[in-house]
Amino acid sequence: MTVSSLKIDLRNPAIAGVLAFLFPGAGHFYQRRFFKAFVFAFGVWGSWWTGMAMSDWKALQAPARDHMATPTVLKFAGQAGVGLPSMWALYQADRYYSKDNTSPITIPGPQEYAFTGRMEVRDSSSHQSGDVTGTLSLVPAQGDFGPAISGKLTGTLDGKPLTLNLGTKVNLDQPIRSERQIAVTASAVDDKGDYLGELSGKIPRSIWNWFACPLDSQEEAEWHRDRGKYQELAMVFVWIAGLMNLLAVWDAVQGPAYGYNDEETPPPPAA
Amino acid sequence: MLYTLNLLPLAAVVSLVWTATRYESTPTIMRKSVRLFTQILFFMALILVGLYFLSRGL
Repeated sequence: MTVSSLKIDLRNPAIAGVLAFLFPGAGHFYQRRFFKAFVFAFGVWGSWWTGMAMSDWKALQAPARDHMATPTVLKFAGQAGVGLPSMWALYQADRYYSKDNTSPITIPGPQEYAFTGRMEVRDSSSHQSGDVTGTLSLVPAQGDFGPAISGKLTGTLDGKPLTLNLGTKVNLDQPIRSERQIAVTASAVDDKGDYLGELSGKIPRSIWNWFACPLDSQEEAEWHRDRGKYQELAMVFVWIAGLMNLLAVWDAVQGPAYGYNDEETPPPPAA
Repeated sequence: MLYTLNLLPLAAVVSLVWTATRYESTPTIMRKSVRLFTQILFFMALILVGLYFLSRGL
């Protein structure tokens, strides 16, 4: 250890290391090494955010405990250096592969969502089809085979106001998935409950249910097709962020890694 | 070309972070990170030229 590093107050290195791992820059901020806190925050987060944005926020994928595919483990190993998002990704992977992550049979209570999609309905006197937007109101219901989901759509069809009752065959996609929107399909019925047609579209998915979620093979293929070579560049940015943060953690715990014959400019003598 | 330009901020960030883990003094970090950044770009340019000549006629 050089004389210069002895003068650096690392406060509690363990706490600084943990903070630096969880949130790049925080450990050095705790140590009052503000310039380095800014450098590491800017560098690590800058690289991480750039990679995530370039990958449509899908670069971060963790393996689940019982789905340790080697490629996923290796890809995640580089990313794991940025602690907080990576720990979330591990938790999200467990949620995604859980047996509870299936299309819901029913819902706990009334819910409303902004909806966009298409409908096609036909009755004895008319046929309507086209793009619809509006509010999808869902309620728990009792179907032919037990608990189900029903509701109605209030919105517009090609600019004209529309209200559509839905039968008890509303199907929602699984809650935890990498897509930002949940796919919805439903049967439209009239006031007597007779079948009129079909409605399909999407409603928003909470960020806590799609961020850092693993991709299945079809989603992965679509992701590659959409992003092209920028998908690989994005992964590089996120890996570099993770690996750089390991260096930052080391600096927080041990101080600067001076090499042989490295000499710092000595601080000015105290007045 | 636009794709290759992504190298510049990446090299800058890597230079800055790497140098920041080696030194503590701000002027030293800035001076040495600029030097490292220049070195990275120089060697990447050399490799680019080499690959260009190797790939001619392919």
